[in-house]
Amino acid sequence: MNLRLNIAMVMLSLACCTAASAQVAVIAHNDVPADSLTKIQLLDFYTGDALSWPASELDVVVFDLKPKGEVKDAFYQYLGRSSSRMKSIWLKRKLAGDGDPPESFQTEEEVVHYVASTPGAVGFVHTSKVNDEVKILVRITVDEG
Amino acid sequence: MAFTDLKIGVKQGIGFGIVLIVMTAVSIFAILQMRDLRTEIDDINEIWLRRAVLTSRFNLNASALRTTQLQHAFAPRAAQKQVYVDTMLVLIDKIDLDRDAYGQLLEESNQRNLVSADEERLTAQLDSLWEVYLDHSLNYLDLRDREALALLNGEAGVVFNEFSTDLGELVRLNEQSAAEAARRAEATYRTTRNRIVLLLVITVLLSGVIAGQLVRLIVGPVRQLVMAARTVAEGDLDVRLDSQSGDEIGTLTRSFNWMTQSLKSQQDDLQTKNQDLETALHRLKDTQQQLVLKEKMASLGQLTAGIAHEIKNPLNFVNNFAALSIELSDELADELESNKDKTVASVFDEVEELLDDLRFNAQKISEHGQRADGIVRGMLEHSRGKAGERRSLDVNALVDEYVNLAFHGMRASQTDFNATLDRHYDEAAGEVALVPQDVGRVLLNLLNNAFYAVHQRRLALDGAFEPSVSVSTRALGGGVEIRVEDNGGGIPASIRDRIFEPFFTTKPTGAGNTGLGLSLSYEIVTQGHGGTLSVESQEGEGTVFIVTLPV
Repeated sequence: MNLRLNIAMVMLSLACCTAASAQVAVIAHNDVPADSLTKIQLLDFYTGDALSWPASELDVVVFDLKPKGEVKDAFYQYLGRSSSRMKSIWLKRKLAGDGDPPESFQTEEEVVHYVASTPGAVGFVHTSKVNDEVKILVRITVDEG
Repeated sequence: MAFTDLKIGVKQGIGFGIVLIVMTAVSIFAILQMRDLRTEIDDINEIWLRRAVLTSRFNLNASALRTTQLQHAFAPRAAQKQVYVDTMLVLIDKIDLDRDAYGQLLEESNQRNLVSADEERLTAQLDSLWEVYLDHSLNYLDLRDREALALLNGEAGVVFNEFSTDLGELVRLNEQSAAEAARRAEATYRTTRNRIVLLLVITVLLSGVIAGQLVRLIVGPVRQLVMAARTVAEGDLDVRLDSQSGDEIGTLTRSFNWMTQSLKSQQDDLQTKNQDLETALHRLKDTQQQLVLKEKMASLGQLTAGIAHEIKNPLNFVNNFAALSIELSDELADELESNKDKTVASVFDEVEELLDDLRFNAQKISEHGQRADGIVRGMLEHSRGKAGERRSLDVNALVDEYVNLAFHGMRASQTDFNATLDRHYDEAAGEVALVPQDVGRVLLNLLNNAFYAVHQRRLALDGAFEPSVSVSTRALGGGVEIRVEDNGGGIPASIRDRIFEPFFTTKPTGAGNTGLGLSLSYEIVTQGHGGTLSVESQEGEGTVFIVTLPV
């Protein structure tokens, strides 16, 4: 746990110093049949209400970022649900046997990597972490206070 | 335009307008203050109390969830586990609803600065702790019974205790804030109430002052006007009031001043005219007195003529018989002288004859002297006593005396006058209480008019006319009637109504004719004696004047 906390702290300080404003990108596997997503579509993906890509039978695979920080906060603020509230939703799903919460990773690089290598995957990272292996569906800009 | 020049209505309007504005301001102030109060109370009801309720319920439901989780983990059979799962789902729903509501409420509170730094910090901390606990909740579901229990009692238990402590602190903070808000609301209520009461008192006082000023503006001048009107009513027309105000009262005051001034000048005019009238009246009275005197003199003249004639007649006899007696005396003296030496017997017959003549003459002188004496005594008799004093007198004697005086007076002034004079005296007429000089004047007037009328007619008809005047008396029950009748030309109907008017006459003016004769006679008979004087006349046949006198 101590180790995890330390990493989180490092991540936080990194995020703080590398980006003056939180520029979050919602990324997807290059082969997904969409070039953009609405907020509602994105929310449906993250709450498990939508299981496949629109007009396609391709399953949606959602990835989350584990450590708390600017990127995660900006993303959930954009969705209009706090991360704890999302947890609550997934707890209910799990109790009802209706699915498991998204897999979450400790780093954004991991997120980018798994999104790029998993068909139908969606994730979110700071724009600076995005590479050619994924495509950006949504750009979220959050002014820092 | 100054305030005093405004109409009363405008003044009232301004006064009431000010009061209205003040009252409106007070009302608006009160409404605003009430709104503040309402906000405070709303804050308590909708924010503080709800926040406290939601937080408490969150605490309660979270504890229930944890208990259920522990029971779920303990439950050996799947069926039992499912019951707890259902309970957990319900509890999570409740918690989510409350937390959503709390989040919204917190946002509202934040906008209105109703969230303290401590609360904000605690809330964020709680959110994090709850998320961690939810992570544990998710995780334990993947573990087997013993491991699951270990997680729940171990790491998750520590997080939950921390979460519970923080939540308790938040509840306490909420309650404290709610109590503070209630105190603030109470303070606001007191302040509001005091301010509104103060403002109401000020408004009432202001209204009173304005109303008082308005009343003073109106009542003051009106009172002055009333006093001035009283002064005018008491006769002082020199009253003037100040009238600088331009309102209706000012106009009224100026009108009042104008009225008194006008009254004053009219009164002055009236006084001048009154003085003129008084002077004229004096002059008129003088003239009237002179006229009455003239009329009296005229009557006196006629009376004197009558008296002169009455006395002249016996006086002639006296003079003639006296002259005859002187002659007879001389003759007797001569007879005695020439027969000095003869015996008395020889001249006795002649002397006796002369003496008889002398005695006869002396008797006649005495007789006519007594007659004159009787006339004078009669005159004195009638003129005795004070003027206007009533005496009981034989009416027939009085009438007869004045008939004689008038007839002879007429004959004395008009030498060619002649008329038949009939007298019919009723012995029963007796004595009547009257003022002899006055009634005598009436009779003289009536008789003179009758003689004048018949004389004029005789002159007009020249001989073919027998002038006649008839005088009669008649006893009435309780009075006497005297009629003077003539067969003159009569009085034309057109002037019959005017003959008793003063200064009305048909005779030529001048020569002692004043036109007052009948008017004075009417006054003497009606007012002086309570009798009546009436006239009956037929034009061309004659006139009769009828005097009635009560006993």
